[in-house]
Amino acid sequence: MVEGSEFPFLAVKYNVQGVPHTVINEEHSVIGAPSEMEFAREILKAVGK
Amino acid sequence: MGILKDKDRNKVQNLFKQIDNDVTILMFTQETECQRCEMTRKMLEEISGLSDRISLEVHDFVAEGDLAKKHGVDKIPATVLLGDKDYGIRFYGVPAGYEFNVLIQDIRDVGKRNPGLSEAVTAELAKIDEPIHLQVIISPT
Repeated sequence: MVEGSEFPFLAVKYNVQGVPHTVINEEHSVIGAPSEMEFAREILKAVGK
Repeated sequence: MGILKDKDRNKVQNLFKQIDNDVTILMFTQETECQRCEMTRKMLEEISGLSDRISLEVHDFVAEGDLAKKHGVDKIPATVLLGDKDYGIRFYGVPAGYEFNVLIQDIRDVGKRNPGLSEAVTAELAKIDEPIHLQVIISPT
């Protein structure tokens, strides 16, 4: 959990436009608050499964 | 005194009754404390006082740089939640506003050694066989 306004360089680095903004392994982004299952599938997608 | 309001304190105390295992909170600040570090530390001091199962260790990010590194802490204020093992839970920044609820729920989950996910989601996540780095970027509400 990262407070974007306290660490603005990260918000800039990941091009955060709205929150929550989740970065998976530095390169995949999930915008908004998906369900737990949707989120699990996003993680699997990020690792190619 | 106190950062928590009475009604919040009671709510948190009730929730913490579900905790049946020890939780250690590591907080990283520094000698010349930034305002947000101080806020975080005071908040955690109050929270950890609400259950005998919770202990708080305050560390110096600079003087104890090796410890910070060991826990992957690269910025402060940082809050690390530990149970029997490190579940990888970190909070960077003041866990206030909506994040306060998330912090409290995470402490409870670690204390129960149970993240409260459904069987279906747990089964999906079991397919992962490598470390995953997640950063949830939020803003104060």
